[in-house]
Parts: sequence; C-alpha cells; structure tokens
Amino acid sequence: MNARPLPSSLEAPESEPGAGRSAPAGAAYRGSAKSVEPDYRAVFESLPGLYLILTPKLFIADASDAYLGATMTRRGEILGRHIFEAFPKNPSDPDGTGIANLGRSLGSVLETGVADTMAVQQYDIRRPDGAFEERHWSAVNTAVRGGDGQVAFIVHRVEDVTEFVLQKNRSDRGTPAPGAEKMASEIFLRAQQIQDANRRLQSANEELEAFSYSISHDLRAPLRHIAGFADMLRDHLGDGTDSTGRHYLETIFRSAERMGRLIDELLAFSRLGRASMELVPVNLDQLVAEVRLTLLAECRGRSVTWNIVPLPEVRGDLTMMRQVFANLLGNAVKYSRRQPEAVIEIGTFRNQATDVVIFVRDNGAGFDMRHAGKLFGVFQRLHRESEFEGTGVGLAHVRRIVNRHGGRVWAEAYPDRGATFYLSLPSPAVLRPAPRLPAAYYGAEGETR
Amino acid sequence: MPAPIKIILLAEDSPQDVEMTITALAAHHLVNEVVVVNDGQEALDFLYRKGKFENRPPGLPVVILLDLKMPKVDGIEVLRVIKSDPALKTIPVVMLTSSNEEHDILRSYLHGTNAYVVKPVGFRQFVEAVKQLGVFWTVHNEPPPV
Repeated sequence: MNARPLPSSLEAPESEPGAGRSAPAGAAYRGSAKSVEPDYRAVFESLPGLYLILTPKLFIADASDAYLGATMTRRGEILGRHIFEAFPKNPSDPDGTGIANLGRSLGSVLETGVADTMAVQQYDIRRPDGAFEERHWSAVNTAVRGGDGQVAFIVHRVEDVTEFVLQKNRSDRGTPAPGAEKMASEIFLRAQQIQDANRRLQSANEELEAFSYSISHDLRAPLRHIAGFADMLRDHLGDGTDSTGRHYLETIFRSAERMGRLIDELLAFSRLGRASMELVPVNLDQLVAEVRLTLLAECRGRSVTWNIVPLPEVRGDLTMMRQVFANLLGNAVKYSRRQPEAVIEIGTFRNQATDVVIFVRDNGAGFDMRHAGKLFGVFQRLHRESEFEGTGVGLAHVRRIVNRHGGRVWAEAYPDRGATFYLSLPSPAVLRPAPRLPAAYYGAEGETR
Repeated sequence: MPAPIKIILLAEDSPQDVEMTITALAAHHLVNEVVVVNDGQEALDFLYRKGKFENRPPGLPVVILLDLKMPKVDGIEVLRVIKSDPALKTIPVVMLTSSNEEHDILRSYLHGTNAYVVKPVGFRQFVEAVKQLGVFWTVHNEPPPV
C-alpha cells in the first residue's frame, strides 16, 4: 500500500470523536422554521443496520446501537480505540484470517477510495466474560471523503451471517439442514459474490466503452490527416513529381486507408461483444442462400461448385448468424480462387448426441495446422496480404459470435488442399434436426439423431 | 443596402482539420467567408460578440460547422446553447466530426443539430463532403428570414 500523508486533524485517535461537533440547539433550524435539520447523530445511532465509523488510522469514531448490540460492546468501551484493539483476535483460533482480510480491505479503500464488498469472513467476538464466540460477517467498507478530497472516514457496514454459515457447514458435514434454510444461506452467499462480480463487470464495461470511443475518435483523426495531406501534396506537386514520388504518395495513401479499415473492424469487433442478442429461429438453408447471392460477383468468371445439404433450423441472433456465414462462405470463395475447379461443401452432423455441427469445406489454399492456434485471433492472418487480401478480423468475429451462442468453432486444413471450418451449437439451440444425410457427411458417431 | 456577407463559422480545434477544411472550401471559392474558432468558448464568443469578437461587425453565420470534441466547451454544449437561444436557434448547425459512435449521433440530434457528418478518411471524399456542405448551406439553402 502506498503511504500517503493524512490530514493532520485525522492523525490522532479522538478520545471522544464527535464530541463538541454537535450543533448548538438553535442551529438546528436553518433559514425558516419549517426546515428542521434532524439530529444526525441520533439518527445514525438508532439505524437498524450494523455500522461502524472509522478514521483513516482505523480508530473507531462511532458505532450504531445495532452494531454495539451485535458485538456485545458498549459505545464508551470502544470509541477512540483502534478497531483491532477493540476487536482482538481469538487466541484459540490462531489461524483465523478475519483480521488480516479486514485490514487488507480497509487498506484498499483508503488507497483507492473505492468501496469494497468483502467475502463472508469469520471474525470471532469476545463476550463480556472474556470467552470468544464464533461469528461470521458480511462486510462492505465505503470511503467518505472530506472537503479536501482525501478519505476522511470509512463506513464499515456489516451483517451478521453466523446463522447462515453454521447452517451451511452443518449441511456440508452431512447433517441436512431444512431445505429452505439451506437454500437461503446459499442464496445469501452467492448474492454477495454476484454483487461483487457485477460491480467489476460494470467497471470493465465502462472502460471498454471509453476505449472504443477513443479508438473511434482519437485514432481516426491523425489518420485522416495523413491521408488528407498526402492527397493535398499529390495535388500540390501535380506534374512536378516523378513516378517514384507518386509511388511514395500512393503507398502513404493506401496504408492510411488500410489502417482506417482496421480501426473500423476493431471497433465493430469490440461492439460485437456488447451487442444485445435477439434469439429467433434461423433457417440456415435460407441464410446460406442469401449469403451466396452476395458472393456472386466474386465467383463470376470462375468455376465454383457448391455442394450443400439441407441444414437444421437453429436458434440464434439473425444478424450475427448472417455474419458468421458471410465470413465462412466468403473465406471459402476467397481462398479457393486459385483452383481451376473450386468446390465448396456445406454440411452438418450431430456430435456426441448433444451438439449440432455445421461445416464449410473448400479445396483452396488451406493452411498449415501448426498455425491453427492463431486462426481465430484478432488481426491474425495465415496468408500474406499480397496473396489474399483481408484484415484478419473475420474469423475472430465468427468465434466471438459462436461463443456467445454457447457453441465453438474449430478448423482442419492442409496447405494447398483446402480447409474445413466447423461450428457446433448446443442442441437446445437447434430447433429442427437436419434430414438424414449421405453417408459421406456422417461424423464419427454416424448417427444424426 | 449591401447584400449581407455570408459567413461560415468553423469551430475546430485541430489545425490539420482546419487546413483541410479551408483547402476544400477554397477549391470551391467559399474561402473568404469562413471564420475559424478553435474551441467551443470561442464559438460562443463569436456568436454573442464577446471576448476577442467584441468589435466584430454584426451578423450571424449562414451555417455553423461544429466539431464534437473540443477543449473547454465541447460541440454538444455549443449546440445546446445555440438551439436554446431564440436569437440563434434558426442557424443551421452541422456536426462535422470523427466519431461515428451511435451515442454521439443520437445526442447531437436530440440537441437539435441540422446534420451530422462523419469526416471521411480519404481527402477526396473529405473535399467532396465539405464542398457539398458548403454549397448546400450557402448557395442552395434558403436561410430563415431575419
């Protein structure tokens, strides 16, 4: 933890914090007689929740009555004392981690100012008679900033979950707890974890949002200037440049354009992860037919044979599924263009009786399986731009979409002997099984249903 | 009475973008009518004849080309001020920006922009876009009566 000077007023433990801070009685009325300012100290102390207020040095500034009740302490006993002195370690449980974990959480709140929800902790409490009682707590530590922006206090809010935890432990040891109570304790513990995960997810999403905005705006501007000024230079030089000069300018211009495309695709890829999915029945036969229409121009003047069997109807997001097939079929057409007779097959089989697999096979350039690990990464390419154009985002899109549908993708290929791309979808996503297929299409299991 | 001067107000913080826009407007003989300001505060100063524009001759631009992301006061804020002032709200405002984020487009329209143009990467496309904007708003468009 980084050492940071604390405001001097908070350095010393206050023997009676807050004493003398309560406003004189007359000041309770602000402006008009109608607006009565409540006595916040009285309000705080009688809150039903379990609250402890700590200074940045972890001395106890105040506690709610409910907190005192739950910890079997009295206000006068603990105010002004260090938290770990007021609530010491249980000597008969030397391995207990409650104190260390609480210290770590409070330290992180002091350092970052960000609230911290702790996992459920065992932190035993000393009874007035000196013996310790096993207690389990769920705690949230929140920073309160002063006028100078520094953390002035920490609100330590706890819930006593001892009963839930003991119930759970009993049921784990084989003494079945009544079903409902067991479930309640499970739900309680899981809820803590979900809340924590949600908070992290939200902050990650916000970061991603800022990141893609930055790409969209900040990265595109200088790029536009490179392209723009190269173009202006070309106009300016007019006939005053030779073929080498023109070549340099063209290269600058083309590279800038390519980077523009890369930025756009990266942005589209980052949006894809966040886009909401609308799951509808997708007729793959129709989808494949539509996608093939968009590839007609690329197939013109070539010999391309399509072998397509009837495909199952699946449940998915139509736009995303279209993108998957546009990529896979587009790749098959692109990478088979050096074949005098290109053959593209689209087939399906059942895998392990649970998943449906759809595959797209071509007899094109293929690739060496040693590099297959790179195939689905963003901006990863297995062919030179001069051989086959592309940005290396298409298959990354395919994988992300199929993953979001609960499926997976993989490929098999040999250099110059073509490639086969497989995508599996879990069977709940499959609405209508494909009709029986010619034997050649069966997978290892050999059965379609 | 002399014909009123047709001013285009260009609010843009990037000098490169300013140069490109002026070059594009110059290619179409619209350059004498462009006033360039470098942030949103200056744009508002120009419109309200404050600060360094205190002594400029009266009159309002026929169109305002507004960058979205500018220091101090950003484009959206300028747009909001213009569209909530009865004296300024009839001036056509074109957001001219790098961002094609849906969120930026939507909030620009919600604040009353008349058009939203994403600056194209290619200069020729950029020239074409600026030319169309300039010609449309200064030549073809009939400005609101004063």
